[in-house]
Amino acid sequence: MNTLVTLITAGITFGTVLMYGTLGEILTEKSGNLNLGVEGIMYMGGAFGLAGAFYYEKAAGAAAAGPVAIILALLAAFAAGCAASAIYSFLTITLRTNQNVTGLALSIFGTGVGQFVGELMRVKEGGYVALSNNLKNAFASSIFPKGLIDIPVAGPILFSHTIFFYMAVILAFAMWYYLSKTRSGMYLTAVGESPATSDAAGINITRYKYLATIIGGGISAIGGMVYIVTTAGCVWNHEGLSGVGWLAVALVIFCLWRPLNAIWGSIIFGSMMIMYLRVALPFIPTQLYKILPYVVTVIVLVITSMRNSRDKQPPASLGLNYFREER
Amino acid sequence: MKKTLSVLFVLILACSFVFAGGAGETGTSAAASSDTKTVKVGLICIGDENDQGYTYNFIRGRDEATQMLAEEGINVEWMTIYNIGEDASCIDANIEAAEEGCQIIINNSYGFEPFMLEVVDDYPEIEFISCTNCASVFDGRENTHNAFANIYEGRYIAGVVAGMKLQQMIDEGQIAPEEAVIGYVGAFSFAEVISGFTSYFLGARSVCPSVTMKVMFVGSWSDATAESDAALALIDEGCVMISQHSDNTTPATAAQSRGVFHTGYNNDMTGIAPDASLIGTRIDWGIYFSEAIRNYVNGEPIPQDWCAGMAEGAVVMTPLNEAIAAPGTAEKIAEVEAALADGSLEVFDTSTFTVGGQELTHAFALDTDGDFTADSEEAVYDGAFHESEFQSAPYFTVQIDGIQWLNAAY
Amino acid sequence: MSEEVRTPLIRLEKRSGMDKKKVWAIRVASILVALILGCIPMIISGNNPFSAYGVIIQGSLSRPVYIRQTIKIAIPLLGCALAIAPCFKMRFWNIGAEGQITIGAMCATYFALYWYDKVPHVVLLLIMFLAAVIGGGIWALIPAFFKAKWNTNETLFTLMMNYIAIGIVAWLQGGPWEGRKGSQLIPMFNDAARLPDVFKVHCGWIVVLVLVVLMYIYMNKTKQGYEIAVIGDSVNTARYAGMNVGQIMMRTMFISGAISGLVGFLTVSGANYTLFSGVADGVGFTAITVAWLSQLNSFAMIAISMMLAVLEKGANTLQTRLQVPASISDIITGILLFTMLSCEFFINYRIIFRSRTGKEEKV
Repeated sequence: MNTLVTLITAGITFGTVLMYGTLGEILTEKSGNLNLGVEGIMYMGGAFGLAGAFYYEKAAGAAAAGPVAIILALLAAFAAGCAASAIYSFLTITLRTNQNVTGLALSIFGTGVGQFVGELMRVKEGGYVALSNNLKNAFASSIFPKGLIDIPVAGPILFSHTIFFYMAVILAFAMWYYLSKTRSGMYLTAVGESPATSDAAGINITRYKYLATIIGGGISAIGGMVYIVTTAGCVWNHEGLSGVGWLAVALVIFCLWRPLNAIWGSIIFGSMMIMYLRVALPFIPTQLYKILPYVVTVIVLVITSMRNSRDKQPPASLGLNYFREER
Repeated sequence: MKKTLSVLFVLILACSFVFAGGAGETGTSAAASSDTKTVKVGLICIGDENDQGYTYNFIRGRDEATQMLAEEGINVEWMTIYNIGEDASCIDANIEAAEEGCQIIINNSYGFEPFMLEVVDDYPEIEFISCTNCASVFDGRENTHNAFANIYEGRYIAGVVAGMKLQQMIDEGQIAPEEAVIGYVGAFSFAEVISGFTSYFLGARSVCPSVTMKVMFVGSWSDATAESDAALALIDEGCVMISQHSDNTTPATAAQSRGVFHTGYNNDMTGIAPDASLIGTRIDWGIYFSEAIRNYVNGEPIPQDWCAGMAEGAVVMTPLNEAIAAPGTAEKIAEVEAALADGSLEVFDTSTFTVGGQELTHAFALDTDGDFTADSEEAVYDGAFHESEFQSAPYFTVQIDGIQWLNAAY
Repeated sequence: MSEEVRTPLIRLEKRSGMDKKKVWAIRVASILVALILGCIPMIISGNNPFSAYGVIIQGSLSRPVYIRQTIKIAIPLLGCALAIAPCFKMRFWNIGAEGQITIGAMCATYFALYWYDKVPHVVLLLIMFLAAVIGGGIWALIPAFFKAKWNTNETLFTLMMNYIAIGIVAWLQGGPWEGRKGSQLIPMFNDAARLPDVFKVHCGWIVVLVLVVLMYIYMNKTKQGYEIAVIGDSVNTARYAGMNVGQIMMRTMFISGAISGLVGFLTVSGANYTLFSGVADGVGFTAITVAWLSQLNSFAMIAISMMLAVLEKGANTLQTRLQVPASISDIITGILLFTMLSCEFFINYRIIFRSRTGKEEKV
């Protein structure tokens, strides 16, 4: 029981990173855009988020305040993600390039930009780039008082996390509400399912696709920033984010494109990734635990396609561009 | 397409040679002007300064050596290559450094050596150095070298500092004697790491008899996420003191965030974890780098296998965090340092530990037939295991009582 | 949308049969645009773009060693792009080449480690070749089977298979195949398991060049190539014509995976001399863009993969000489991909602006 509690608690740390990546990608894919650039987007979010906080602290000196740094890091990462996915949107929606190829190109580009910025900061500063302990605490501490965290079982699971976790949960609920309860959200789903029908019904396809993809990219990018300021200890880590974006893409499938599933899905994935340090299963070497999320995703993918149940499928037009004149 | 592109390439090629004239090819010019005693040295690193640990420590050694040699009239021009993996990219990095005119090429990570050795025969006039590994010394080549320092001495002292803190906590009733558990984040389950945590543990137990230790391996020299996760997992297992043999500072941050103590490696981590980190130990690579480069410039051979310890200044302790260390720690450190220097204290004194309940009487040091198991040179004699005497890289691989391996898979 | 039909300000018209010269002019222009945009990160890092590009060219092409290193980078890119071409022609989005390379490399490595003293040099290499080809092929067959049978989304499936393959190799690296205990390194191959050099580059370059020709013939001159093209145009047409679409998909994916596996063999046996989890090193992803930018034309792939190899090798020298982070090669590669992808739009479409007078201006 205790192992389970600590596993879940620790899993949430990495799960939070995945949750942002996944929520962003769900929004994107709902519009029918399969943005495979999440990997690159998260790299950019990480680098620019850290840069935002670092240069703010450099300018403000000892007066630097935690909340301001958090907001600036969030904004910087979000903006970077929006910019990256704006490139993707422009190419795939307006210039009608192939989504898979464009997404991969964005992955290469974004990884490059993230690593470039991260490394350039070090070269320019002539040493390591790190935030002060003051800001680190602001980023990595729980927002709840110690009394609540000390409650057995529920305390660590519910109250011991950073502000980013609670924001992600709120975001998941907001997205759920938006997608299933508002008119605009239903239009967005319709665009992803059948752009031709939506177009005929007078929905502005282009606007929905652009907005969903750009905002989705921004949300994904926040995940990269959260990784850098929590797990990596507010220091740029050259290879730290590699594979995280792809894991987020896997998680989207695992969650069956539903924001609320992303909450527990990301915790499960996060726990799976660190399970090798905490739990030993019989017969399976611990080194293989890290592939579990991918194996599980494949199984989900296969089962849903076999059962072919309409509500558990990817958005019907996922990965396909819409050409009105070829309707 | 091909034609058009090749035309384009020729154009770019032509342009760049016109414009770039002075920018490139600095390597050859530097190598040519040998009368000013300039030497060009390549340093291939597994990480970068941002780890604030392993590679950062090499960079400090680099800068220190540069300064020391400048005073002697030797000008060192460094070419540092960052973030190279322990894989085939290391082959390319060595070729790159060699082609760009480096006369000495230093590989800073253990796993670089096999890849480095693929390149060395193509450049017999260049000296290649593999830090912390052990194949170069025995490979029969003149231009390959190994180097390491007796970091186990520093770890022993760090262990003493940790043990004193734990004993203080026991004495003050904060923990029961059996709760004095050290958690150790290790990179891989092989000699360098085993030797390190065993010496650390022996240091701690010399001042805190009830201490035990749990070791968790992460399977990577430098994986900030895994190191942090491992430290947190150890704390969840009840460890109240964290130490590490890995490249990043995340174990220190983890200890700080959970309110337990920590001792570091490679760098002074008290700045990162002021309420947790007690002390650190590191290798001062400046000592070796300056010696190797000086020898090279003076036409003397670089030692095939270099090893030095605290007495030579090659292993140093980082400043003690007086605010949280147990009282009397500084005096104790001085005492142990003196005892190590005059030989009255052996770190791996076989009377201080047991293996499966028995005293250790036999262990081989070297592997001569390449099957990765030691098979020659008895290391246990005169009542102690003699570490790093037959080669600079550690060879202590015994699992002693009191240390629990949580996962031996890595 | 308003009820009345008006001519929008900008509208598009599909263009047919643009002048070949003009097409290439646009493509070359897009490369130039990318190189100009690539100046931005160079300026940000405080370098003169001209000298930076100069260093890139010098670092990749100015010396025999550098040219050899560049070719070494280009070999797997080209080989893997050839592997991807038939899948993409069929509109089967195989983004699992990364994993297929890894599995191919893994199968070859088994024989390199355990059979090197049992069979003669050439036989060993042949066995390794066959193992890699079959291993990669079967790995690719798995998602193809599910696609054929239950229409499982192949993009996502192949993507997941990458990380499963990489994870398996990571386990072998630290587990059964580990050399010195705890080192996480598989021992270097015996000389018997290494590919011979031809002109000081491993003979893989000859293999991929032969493959270029073979793939060209396969895609353009054979019945199977024709079937692939038909399915790519329309699955329904193919079905109507009586083709067994599922079987063709599985066959094509096997071929694709087999070639990727071959690339894995060439990489471990010719370039790396050992296996590690990062053996594919992103080649599987980059090669997709190479294939696509070449319009799936085998010969064009030679040029594109060389171009990307020049960038990558040159950027390493750029880092060692001018301290510009080597990741700049990824940035420029990315920009290059963006502009080259975009330029197809201007080749395929005509933009028509509605002028104020109501007349249309064609651009």
